[in-house]
Amino acid sequence: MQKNIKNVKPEAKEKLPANFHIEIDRSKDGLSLSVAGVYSIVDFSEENVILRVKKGRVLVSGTGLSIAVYENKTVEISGRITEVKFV
Amino acid sequence: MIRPDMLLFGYVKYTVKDEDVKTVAELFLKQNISVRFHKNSFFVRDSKSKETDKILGEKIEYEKSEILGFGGFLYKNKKRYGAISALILTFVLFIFSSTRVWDIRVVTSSPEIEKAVISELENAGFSIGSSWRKSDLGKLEVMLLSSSDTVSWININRRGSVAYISVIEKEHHDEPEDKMGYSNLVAASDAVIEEITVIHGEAAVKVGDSVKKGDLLISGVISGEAGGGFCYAEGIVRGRISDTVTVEIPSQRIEKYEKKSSLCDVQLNIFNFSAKIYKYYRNLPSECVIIEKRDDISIFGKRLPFSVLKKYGATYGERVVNLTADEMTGLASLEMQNTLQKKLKDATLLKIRTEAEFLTDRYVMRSNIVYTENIGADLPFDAPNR
Repeated sequence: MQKNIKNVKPEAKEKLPANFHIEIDRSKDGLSLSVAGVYSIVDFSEENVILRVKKGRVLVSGTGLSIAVYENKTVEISGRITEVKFV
Repeated sequence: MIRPDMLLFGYVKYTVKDEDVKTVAELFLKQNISVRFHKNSFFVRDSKSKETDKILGEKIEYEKSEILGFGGFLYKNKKRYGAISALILTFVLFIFSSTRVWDIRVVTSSPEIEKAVISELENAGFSIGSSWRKSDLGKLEVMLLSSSDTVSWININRRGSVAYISVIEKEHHDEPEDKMGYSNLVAASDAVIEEITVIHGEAAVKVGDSVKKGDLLISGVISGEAGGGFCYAEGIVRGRISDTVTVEIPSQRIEKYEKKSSLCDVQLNIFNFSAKIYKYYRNLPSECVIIEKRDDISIFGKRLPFSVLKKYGATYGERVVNLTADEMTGLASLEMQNTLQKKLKDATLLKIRTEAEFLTDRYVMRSNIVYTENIGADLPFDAPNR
């Protein structure tokens, strides 16, 4: 018996955060970088953080990096940040 | 820094493995819960600890501490009323103690000087919240004087918990230039000569002469009768100038207005420490201006070393506004005043006559002025080779 393909529901799409936004402030440890519109944290270590955002992936490099997560898909990275780029 | 509400109401410390920090951060990101990591530990309010246990579940290995902070202390010592009362009293005494700098007041009439001095003091490590004991006021004064471009004398006095800073601003004087080479003095504008005083060179005009821009006033070429040769012509030549200044104000103007302003960041500052309370950048449009606003907290007129820093994302729109006759007149008068002030900065005004008229799409104001000023301008030249 053939399967009725029309009745198969497509998988629900992940609700994507809107409006990618980056802001940088000075902090005691160096810099504090806030990224809004983060889909997921791809990788984290004290030297490199990779975040998945609407426009692709953002790599934040430095030393002594720490992470904070806020409501509404905002991630803050603090420490001695040396480089921020899309990868 | 631990958030003040966590310190007050109690918090729990979770420690996970280093390799699990990314996974845990992602779990909280998806659950829309705010958490700040310190290496491989993070802190949550005691009231949120059950929810956190549920989120971490059995997938993540973690260690959970007992309840910490003031809330934890109260929980552990809930029946020790004497200890709790003593703690509250100690806290109150600490708040009102004078071991810290509570306020800095710069005694000056210039807000720019005040800002510059406070900024230079902060760079030197002295600000609200600094310890009096650790601050050497004499050294600070010396450091500020040697590094400051704006202050020639400074004195820092302590009165109670307030630092009073008296300053004397630096005065800048232009050093007179040593003039080298040869030059003529020529007219910088059309004028009638009112006064001429020759310091070096030979006068080429006399009082009452009409000159055009570029005409020779004092020559750097010395005639044979006076000994010959060349020099750098110097002198004071005042000319009477007639001029017209026109100001036009259109009847419509484009005005910027704030369309929408949303709070996106809140930070609490206590002494030299800051705690981030709230961040919400999600719905900010891509083209917006971030405005920072700092609110200081005072009790009975006494400023406390606490402040709240708020950031707002603001978007602006433009609209066309029709000006009334009074508005156009007011704006035209102000612009005319400013223009004349700049033009006549080094001049002496002799006569002014102003007239104005409303046209279909604008208001025009015209001032006919007569004034005297120094009209000499240097025109260097190379002496011919003999």
